[in-house]
Amino acid sequence: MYNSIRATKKLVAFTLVLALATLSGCSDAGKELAIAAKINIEVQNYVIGAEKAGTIPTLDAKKIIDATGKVGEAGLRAVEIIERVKNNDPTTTTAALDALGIIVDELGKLRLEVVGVKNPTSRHQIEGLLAVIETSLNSARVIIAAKQ
Amino acid sequence: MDQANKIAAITSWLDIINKATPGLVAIIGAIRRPDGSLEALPEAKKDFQAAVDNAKKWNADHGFTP
Repeated sequence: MYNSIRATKKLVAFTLVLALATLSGCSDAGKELAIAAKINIEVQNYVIGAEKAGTIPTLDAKKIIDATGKVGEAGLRAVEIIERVKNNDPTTTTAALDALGIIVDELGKLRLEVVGVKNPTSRHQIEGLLAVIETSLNSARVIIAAKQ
Repeated sequence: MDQANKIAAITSWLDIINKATPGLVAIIGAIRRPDGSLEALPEAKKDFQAAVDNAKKWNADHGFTP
């Protein structure tokens, strides 16, 4: 009896910590952007490797690599703006949302280049990674929008 | 529940609170931080910059001019 009460209390405490940890993770726009940046590099490295292995033609690879570079440029601008975001300041929040919107636009162009990849395995692999970037960017937008 | 069990139960709660407090303080601090906890931004900056640099290097290595 006593052991079961004790186990329940520990479970409640653990659940509370887990819920708070999840909430904390969800409130971090920086982490979401870092995930997007990391996956963008992963897409780039994947395509560089695939071009080297001959599974993606050089000109197709160039389009995707250039597009990931553009995502990187847009990402750098977004990071600079998001660093200046202050709570309850609609001006900085709107600027940050616009900056994230530019990355999403570049990501859309990257997605269009990926459609042209003939090797289905490579295409699906890259599309899967792009979906992760999109999810992270959307999460970052929601988190920043919540500051208004 | 006898007295000994009550004391043991209270002690176990205090033990849980004692162990969980540093973690909870850190988590609540992260939630309440005014800038929304943007500690990972430098990492994002580094990886975005790497994407820009890698694209330039790959183009140069393959003889493509900007």
